[in-house]
Amino acid sequence: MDTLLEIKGLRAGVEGREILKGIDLVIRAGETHAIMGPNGSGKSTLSQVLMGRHDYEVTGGSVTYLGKDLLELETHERALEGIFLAFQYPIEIPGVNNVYFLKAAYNALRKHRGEPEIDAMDFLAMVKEKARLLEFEDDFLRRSVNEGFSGGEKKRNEIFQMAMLDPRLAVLDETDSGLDIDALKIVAHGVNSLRRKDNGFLVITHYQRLLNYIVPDFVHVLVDGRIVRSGGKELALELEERGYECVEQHAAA
Amino acid sequence: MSVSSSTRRRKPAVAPGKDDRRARGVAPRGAADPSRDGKHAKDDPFVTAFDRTAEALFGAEPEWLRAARRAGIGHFSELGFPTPKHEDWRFTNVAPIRDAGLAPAVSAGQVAGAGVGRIPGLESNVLVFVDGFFAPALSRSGASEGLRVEALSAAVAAEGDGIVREHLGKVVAPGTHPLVALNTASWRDGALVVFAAGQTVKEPVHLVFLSTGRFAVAPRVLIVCERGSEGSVVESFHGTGDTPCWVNAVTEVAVGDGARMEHTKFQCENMASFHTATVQSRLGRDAYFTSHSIALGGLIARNDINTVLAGQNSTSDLNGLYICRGAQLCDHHTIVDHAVANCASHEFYHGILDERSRGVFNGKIFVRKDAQKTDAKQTNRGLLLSADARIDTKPQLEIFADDVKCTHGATVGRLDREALYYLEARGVNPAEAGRMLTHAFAGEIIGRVAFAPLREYIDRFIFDYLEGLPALR
Ligand SMILES: Nc1ncnc2c1ncn2[C@@H]1O[C@H](COP(=O)(O)OP(=O)(O)O)[C@@H](O)[C@H]1O
Ligand SMILES: [Mg+2]
Repeated sequence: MDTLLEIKGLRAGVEGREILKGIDLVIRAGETHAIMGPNGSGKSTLSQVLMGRHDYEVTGGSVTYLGKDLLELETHERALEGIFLAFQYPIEIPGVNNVYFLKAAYNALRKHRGEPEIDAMDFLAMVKEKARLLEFEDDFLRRSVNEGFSGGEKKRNEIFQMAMLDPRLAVLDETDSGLDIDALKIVAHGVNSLRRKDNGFLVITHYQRLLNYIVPDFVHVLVDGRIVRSGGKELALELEERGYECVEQHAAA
Repeated sequence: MSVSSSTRRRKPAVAPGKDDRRARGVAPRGAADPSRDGKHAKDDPFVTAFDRTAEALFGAEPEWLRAARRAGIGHFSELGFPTPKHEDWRFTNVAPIRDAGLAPAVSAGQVAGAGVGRIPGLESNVLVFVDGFFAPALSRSGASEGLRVEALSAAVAAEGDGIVREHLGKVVAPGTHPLVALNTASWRDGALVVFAAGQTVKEPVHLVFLSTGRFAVAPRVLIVCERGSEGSVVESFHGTGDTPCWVNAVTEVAVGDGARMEHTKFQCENMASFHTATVQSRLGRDAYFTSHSIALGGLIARNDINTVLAGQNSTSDLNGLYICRGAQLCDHHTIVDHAVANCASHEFYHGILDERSRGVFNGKIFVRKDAQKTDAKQTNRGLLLSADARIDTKPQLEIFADDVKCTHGATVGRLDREALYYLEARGVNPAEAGRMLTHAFAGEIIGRVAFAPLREYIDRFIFDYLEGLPALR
């Protein structure tokens, strides 16, 4: 099976403070991995380092994506190569229209692949179709990026964008937090409809609940910048029952 | 850096500032002003040029107008050409304009094609001026009910005494501003636009000023909005070549009781040129005036946008968007004069500065003793795209009434890194992401233009213009 992503001994931090203390993780095409862990364990940091945010300094290890050194690429180049990050806290960008922005992103992808710009009508048809998938009303699309969106709407917008851009590797950072059960189902349905043999997902979550709907192939537990346990989907249930303390003790032992 | 304050004053108070002449009104300056470079006005090349040519150029004009010109040159020679020693010109050194020694244009240069500066959707009334001279062949005027549009020189010749005499030089005070005084003395042509009482004219009148060469040009525009009328005027300034010219424009807008007026100024001189302009409006009762100053091209540009709220229940909205690059300097000075009670004013100015360019914003708000219940708001925001760009901003609130609401806020910042990262995380390259955010910043001003085809034209123009900024390429 193709390896999408291979993380080896990854260390990263901010201003001399180490947050990720040696991460190893391999994601192959067709797989969905979940990362669980207590608050502050470094889950978001991992996702941001994968996306190339400049605030974080990588101090050791390597990340290989489809055979390329990912850490060499700028953020937009990573996106163009097929990596997508659904942000834990999507920001509002007043004055930049949702659809206009998405079209620019979509056409950037096409250009990167040597394809011509999409026809405006075709694009709108696609927007409508994906909006229906996420049960978005047209009104959201006319507004500025995330402006005036509720927390749940912002999260849905992330998945809507993901559906539009159809990434090879999607990282979902606590997309479930702040969602009620109906919104959670919509989001999970959106994600599941995109799962294919040739792509992969890294689903970061604090709670097991999401994993009832997006069933992972592997579950990893991140504690204090290290993956302390890995297992199948049952691991999530065990964590739900016994809490993170047990793995933390397990790790210390 | 961010400054913001909000005041509801109970006692007469004056914002901090070193101007100790406020009690005498708007920036008065006398002949004895010691900051005049020691240069004697009699040797002034502008004064000498006027004395030499006035009889030949203006001898046939009615006496009231010739008197106004003489008064204008008198004021100019008293006030002197501005230098940074004048408080109002502290950040803007216009010595290069003086030193360029540009002589007044004596005839119109060549313009390639009739389309320069034209705006789709503004077709019915377009007056084109080339180097200050009316170009009928490039212009069109359709009959619109309730609208009179013609070259100012023609209006003077045709009617002698009348609406021009009633208003020209009455809205501005030539004695307070040396370049207004110089324009008053030396204007050759310009436009008269009159919106007749009670009439609404939807499509804006478009005045296009093209500059072709190494000249000084002083266009003069008089806009009269009679009682209860509604209209819109766009003034576009375009440089067609790459040689320096100096456009020194004055526009007077008399807004009658209950009238509504939108004025848009589109400054697009070539990058070697100088542009100095005053747009002065005066509002009666229940009137509305809005000004949009879109300032792009020109090496040194100074725009004075002044409004006097002279009748109760009136509102003035002054908006501005300036974009500078290279060694450009763009200065906006605004004066909002609340002369009577129950009026509102809102100012929104956005500046975008790249490379080593400089922006200046100076916003004065006077609230006179009787102007109770004034609601004045001023917001000025600067976006710096390069480490070498700079913006100097100064609010000046001079409040003499005790029950008013005045707020002002000034911020200078850079592109939002979080927002850039978010866009880039979707595959948008950094330059395009920067353009999107900068365009959004500009859009907050562009969005205030009421007439849709004009707004769309400006939006498109600005979008393309931003692609030319080095920081966004
Ligand atoms: N940009 C940053 N600057 C300073 N500290 C940070 C930054 N990002 C994360 N941290 C710190 O690193 C630790 C891990 O944070 P984070 O990756 O957000 O954890 P999680 O997503 O698992 O809750 C926390 O202690 C957090 O305060
Ligand atoms: Mg997090």
